[in-house]
Amino acid sequence: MHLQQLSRAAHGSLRIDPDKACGEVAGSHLVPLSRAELRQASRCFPLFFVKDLETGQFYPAALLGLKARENLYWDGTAFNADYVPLNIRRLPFYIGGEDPAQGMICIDGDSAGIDPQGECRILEEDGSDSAYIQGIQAMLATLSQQHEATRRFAQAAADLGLLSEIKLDIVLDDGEKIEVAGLYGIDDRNFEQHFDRIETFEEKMLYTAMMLSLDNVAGLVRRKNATNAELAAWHAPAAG
Amino acid sequence: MPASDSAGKDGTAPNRWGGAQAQFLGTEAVPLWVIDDCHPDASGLCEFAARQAFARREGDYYPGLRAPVPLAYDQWLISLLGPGIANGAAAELELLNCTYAIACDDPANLAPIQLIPHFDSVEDDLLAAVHYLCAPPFAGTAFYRHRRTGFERIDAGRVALFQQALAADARQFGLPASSYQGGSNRAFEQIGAAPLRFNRIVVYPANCLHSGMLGATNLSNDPSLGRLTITTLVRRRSR
Repeated sequence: MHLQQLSRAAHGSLRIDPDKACGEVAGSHLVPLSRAELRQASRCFPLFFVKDLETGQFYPAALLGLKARENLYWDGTAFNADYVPLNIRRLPFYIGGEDPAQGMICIDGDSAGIDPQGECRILEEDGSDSAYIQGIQAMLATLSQQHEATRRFAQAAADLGLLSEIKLDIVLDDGEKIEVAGLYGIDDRNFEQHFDRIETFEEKMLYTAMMLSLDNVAGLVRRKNATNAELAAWHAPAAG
Repeated sequence: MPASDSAGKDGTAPNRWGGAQAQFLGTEAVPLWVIDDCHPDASGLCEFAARQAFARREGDYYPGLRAPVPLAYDQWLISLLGPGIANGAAAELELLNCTYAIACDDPANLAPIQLIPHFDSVEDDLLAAVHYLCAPPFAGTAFYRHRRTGFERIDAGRVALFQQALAADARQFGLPASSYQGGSNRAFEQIGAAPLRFNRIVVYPANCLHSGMLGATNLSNDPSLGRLTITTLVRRRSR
């Protein structure tokens, strides 16, 4: 990765292929989410809280695979889901600088998404910002503005005692056993017990959405079984 | 994988080797060394092979049969490759899976995965050596870029992505027809080739996408008639 501060002079003529840019997460099994997108994301992915190993703080994330570096929503060409998280859609752009709220827009100069044949341009021919880059700016602004609110939301879940570690024990169609650990979810009993201590209706809705999103683990397992079946076909001898 | 990971640029192996100048293939600069007239008694290696019992190895995706090589072959190969690999640094070579190999399977009997370019290992420090002990019209080894991913080498971090992309290839193009890979197709682009010549050894990273060029000739399981080679994986270890 080679992050460069986005500038009209250096990058104005670039074209972007968003699907190729999203290939950056083809090997990611988790993607961090902003508080602003939790309700939408909860319809597509199982959502968990993940503990940052460096800071010890929790952050909400969508589980995309059942193994490290596995993204079952990446179909080999594109991210295939009804909702695409902001942290994927914004690629190959990043927020640079120490403070996300004050951050500058950067582009990964090494991204495969920078493609002369890409469908999206950064500047229009008259030099104005393209609709595409305006959309990127809006996404990055949302991520930046929601950074602190997302952190507080996750911290509140931990402080209220709503979180419990969740271990997934899965047996696939081919008999393979998979154990997924190190994830935290909203514990329904604790949620009920502390429900009245949650300050706002919106937060109650978001915690509920995250809790119900765990049903999407079944969809993830279906994707895994389908992927395994596709791979098995490559290894099946033609003449038995 | 960046070009800086390629041999000759990170000390894994040198540009020159046994008198051979490395070629660098594709956008990932896959190094390829070709050393001609390498063995002093290549005909003797063929005669030895003719006396061996070739057999299929369980769990092996190689489309043919294998047999043990003469005891002295290991030492000869180390002496050939060692000076180049050492390149002034303290290192020693370990040979893995050094066997005669004769590709003879009817592609109609193979699994689809055996019909596309493959990698021998995901390990960065492993090289593959193929010693040709037959002559044209048998053909050599071709090297490929996987179009969907752009990968020319598959390391551990790329395996899952490569598998996902193969699944997508199958959905879009179908599984490969029952024939060996020959040149470019919709899923793979050929980025180079090592032509076959008797008593030529070719060396390349074990994690690069490659395929024996097996399609245009009649294959035989008789070592004196078939596409006889010796294949070896070579690990360079620091002392």
